[in-house]
Amino acid sequence: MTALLSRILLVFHSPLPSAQALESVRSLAQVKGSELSGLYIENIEMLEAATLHFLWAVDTLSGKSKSLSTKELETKLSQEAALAQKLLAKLAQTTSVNSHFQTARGTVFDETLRVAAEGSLIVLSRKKLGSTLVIDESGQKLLSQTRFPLLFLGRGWLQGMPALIYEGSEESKKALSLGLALARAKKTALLVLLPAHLAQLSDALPEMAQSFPIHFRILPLMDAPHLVAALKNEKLSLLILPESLLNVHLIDEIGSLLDLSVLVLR
Amino acid sequence: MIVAASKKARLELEPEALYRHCSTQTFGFKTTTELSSLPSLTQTRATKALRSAMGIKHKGFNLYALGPVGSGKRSLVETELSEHVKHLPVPFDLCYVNNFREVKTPQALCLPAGEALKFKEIMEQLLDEVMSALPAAFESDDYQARRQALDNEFSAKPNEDFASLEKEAEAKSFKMLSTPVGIVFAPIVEGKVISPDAYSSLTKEKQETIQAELKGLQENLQKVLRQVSNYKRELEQQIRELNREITDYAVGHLIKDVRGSYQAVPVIVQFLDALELDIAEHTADIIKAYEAKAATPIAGINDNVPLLRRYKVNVLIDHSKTKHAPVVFEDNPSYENLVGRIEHIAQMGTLVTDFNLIRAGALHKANGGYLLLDARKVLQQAYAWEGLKRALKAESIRIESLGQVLSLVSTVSLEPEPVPLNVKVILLGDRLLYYLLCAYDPEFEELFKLSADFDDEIERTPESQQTYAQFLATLANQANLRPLDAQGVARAIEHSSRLAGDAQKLSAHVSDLADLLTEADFIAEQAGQALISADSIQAAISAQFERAGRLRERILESTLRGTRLIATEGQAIGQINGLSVMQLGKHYFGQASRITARVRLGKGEVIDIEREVEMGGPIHSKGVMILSSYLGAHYADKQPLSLKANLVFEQSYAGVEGDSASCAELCALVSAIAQVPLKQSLAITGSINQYGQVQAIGGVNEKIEGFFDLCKARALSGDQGVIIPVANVQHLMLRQDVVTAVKENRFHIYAVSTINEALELFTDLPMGKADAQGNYPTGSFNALLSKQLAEFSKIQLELSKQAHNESS
Repeated sequence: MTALLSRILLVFHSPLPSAQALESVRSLAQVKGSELSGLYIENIEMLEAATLHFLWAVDTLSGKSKSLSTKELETKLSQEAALAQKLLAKLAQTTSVNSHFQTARGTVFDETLRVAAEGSLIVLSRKKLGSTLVIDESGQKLLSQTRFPLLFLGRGWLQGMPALIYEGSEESKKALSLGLALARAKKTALLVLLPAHLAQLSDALPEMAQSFPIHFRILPLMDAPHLVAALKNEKLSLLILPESLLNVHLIDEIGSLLDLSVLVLR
Repeated sequence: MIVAASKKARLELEPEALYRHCSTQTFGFKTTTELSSLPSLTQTRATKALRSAMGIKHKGFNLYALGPVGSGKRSLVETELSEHVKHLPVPFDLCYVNNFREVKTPQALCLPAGEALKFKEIMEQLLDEVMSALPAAFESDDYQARRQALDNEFSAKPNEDFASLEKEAEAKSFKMLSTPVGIVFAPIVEGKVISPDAYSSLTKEKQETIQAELKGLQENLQKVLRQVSNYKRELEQQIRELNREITDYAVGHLIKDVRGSYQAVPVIVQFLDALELDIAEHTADIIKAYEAKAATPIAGINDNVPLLRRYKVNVLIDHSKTKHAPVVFEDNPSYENLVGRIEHIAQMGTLVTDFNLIRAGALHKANGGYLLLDARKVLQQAYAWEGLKRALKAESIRIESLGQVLSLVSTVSLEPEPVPLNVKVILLGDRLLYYLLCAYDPEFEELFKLSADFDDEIERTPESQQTYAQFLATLANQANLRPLDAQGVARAIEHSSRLAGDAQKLSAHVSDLADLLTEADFIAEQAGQALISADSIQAAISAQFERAGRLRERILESTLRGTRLIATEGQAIGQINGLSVMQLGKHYFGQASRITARVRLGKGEVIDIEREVEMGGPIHSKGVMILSSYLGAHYADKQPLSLKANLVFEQSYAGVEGDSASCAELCALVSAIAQVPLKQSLAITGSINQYGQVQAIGGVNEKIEGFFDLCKARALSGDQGVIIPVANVQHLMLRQDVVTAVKENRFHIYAVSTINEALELFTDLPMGKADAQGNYPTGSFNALLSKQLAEFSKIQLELSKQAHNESS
């Protein structure tokens, strides 16, 4: 666990996450005093595309097309990098932890792998697709091709309790420990989702948690509909998933419908 | 040659003429507890006007009740109205509710009497039920499943469209890139964005194909972006419909029940229809409010939640306990107290308002009945008069703040729906205000077509004395005073005549009487009496007289010490005791003033020194001119009036007004001309006309008493007295000590009709009647006077001749 949270790598790329979305990172860093690393990646594919004079960009708000120029794109990327640096500095300042920031040019996947040290928690924003947030190609690759724990940011940060899925695995135990630490720090309760076959743990876990207030929800199935139904009326700040439930679609669905940040521990 | 004693005696008044006693024999009661109540004195003219105002329903027939303060206007009006309104129906209740279409203009509901509070209670109950039923319905599995399905459907759709577009791009060897300037489709070769060189090396056909596909993708992207907006709208619409359906299911029957019980009141049915739609639009907010209420279940803490206030009923006028049309007296008729106001509450440092903060004004309270207002107070309050007139003219009450009326503020505020106005306004005020309003406000007579003129006094007859006794009984009863015995009533009635300044009248100044009774009650209490007796009344009168006596006593003292020169014995030429009245607040007292006249040769001028120094008022000057005219016409009809006379009020340091001294001035003047001394033991009051007739004056009682007090202080000699006009005899209600002195022949009061009678009393000389040649009998006053005038004329003629000779 110590290794897990000793360094948090915030991967920024276009579009940037909101300051509110980064609140989940602040919570984690505050709990463990993690060092914060910021990496802004200038997507090489975008820059290459900008060299093609005939390409047009379509504005997602107005739907209008405009020609894509390298100069304009580089300016925008520099502005985004500066903004990302500011976000990181502010985050580090308010959590009183060390931080450093760097900019790289390349693909998100390659540059993240290059910078990420062992045990780092990689923080990624999700791609906005229509009205929902989905894990983009880089995130999917990091999820499937690496063993890094990953935090996928939601749109914002809700003032509420952390939630986690406990299915008895080692990761579950790590998740419980982290969840309890976060809940204590925020002075909230902790919500634990148990599969039906582990319902009896609802008696044992509070003892383990030294009588810390834990709310339990017993679910017959740990699929998206059941999870969404169990969580949608709760005020939550973060959902911690164990690796056993690693599933891009599940994360997308939960994350989008509940607008939650989702932490995948492994 | 002296005036016969019989003639003198004929002019002297008997003690019985000086005071009109009130006999208790006709009363038929021992104490006022035996008398029935009479809340106000009979004012026939005013009552008639008031009844007309009550009867005429048309616009503008409002009433102005005019009369002096304390004349019982309000009590009479209230007495008459209290009887009249018993037969008038109870007016509508009034409440304001939210206007769901236009929140800025709250809706006024006029409901049958007693229904407003019921409706408010029903609405509160309905809201409670809605707040319980709605969350339950919206938390139901059925709703959640349907809502989830909608959310899933509409959140999946954009994803699918974007995913589909992304796949389409991939199929055409394009990569969809999300850049800071927008979405870009970049052509790829072997998984990488094509370089410019590679692109240039492509054949023209291939390039055209890429361009065409790129164009197609961009158009599709634009379609997807438009479609995403449509999805949002569609989702919102479907959620709205679902909410409406669930709302209808959850609360529709509740509203239907209420609607069913108000079928006879279309405005409520319409309101409930709008309410149902609004609840469906605000289900999420209602549920949030419900949760907030559940989280803090302290009574009243959530009352100011805007959403909960939205469905409340603000009852402005409730007639549930009213038995008939209202009669409202607004003691503080400010603009807002008349037309109502919109209050504000402070929230987060700003002032906010809604229809729940609309407050009724006096016009709302009196609507359907009568509104009584003090005219002076209405006019003193800023814009209250304008607001009242506007409401009466428009026949509706429009609640606007002064800021809005004057266009001083332009912030958004409420504009409550105006309420139809059907009220009769009765203004209570003095005469001056009435006539000023008539003269200067063109709208006044249009809106106040009727006036009720209250008399200051009423006739004193045995019947009116009886009703006056009833009125005194009521006054005592209303003020929780002791009852009066018959003698106490009689003394109060006599004093009322004195207040009226007329033995044949009774004062209608209710407040003065009420004050007297209160003081007499206190005296009776001190004396341990169960009833207010004549002695108590007299003691109260004496106490009032004494309290107001500081200046009177100072003047008397200065006269006794010789600072003010007033002779009360002996004789003097061209010097006479005139009488005047001073007013201090509500109290009057009389005092003697020395008036002197000096004569010398001249051209027929009578100079009023008071006027010359601008200390004489116009009426006084008029009196002096009239006596000049009398002098000229009476004594100088055949010869020029060759004198110059000066008249002055000695030791007068303030203005002199009124013509009541014109008799005295004429006497002093002719005394000076005839060189006949006047008795200083007498004083005179009365005005004179051009024919020498003595006319009535005011304040006769106070004047007599003023001279009496001076004479008494110097010891009554038995010769002293006062000459008054015959026309004033009916006004005499003198103090008992004066009457007693007259009875004992120590003081005398004479009533004269002509100046000759007065001069005979002053000089003891007969005036003398001119014979056919115009000559007066020797030794008569007129003979002496004519001789002096002739002497003046002769000298004047000689001087004129001498002057003529010298000049020629």
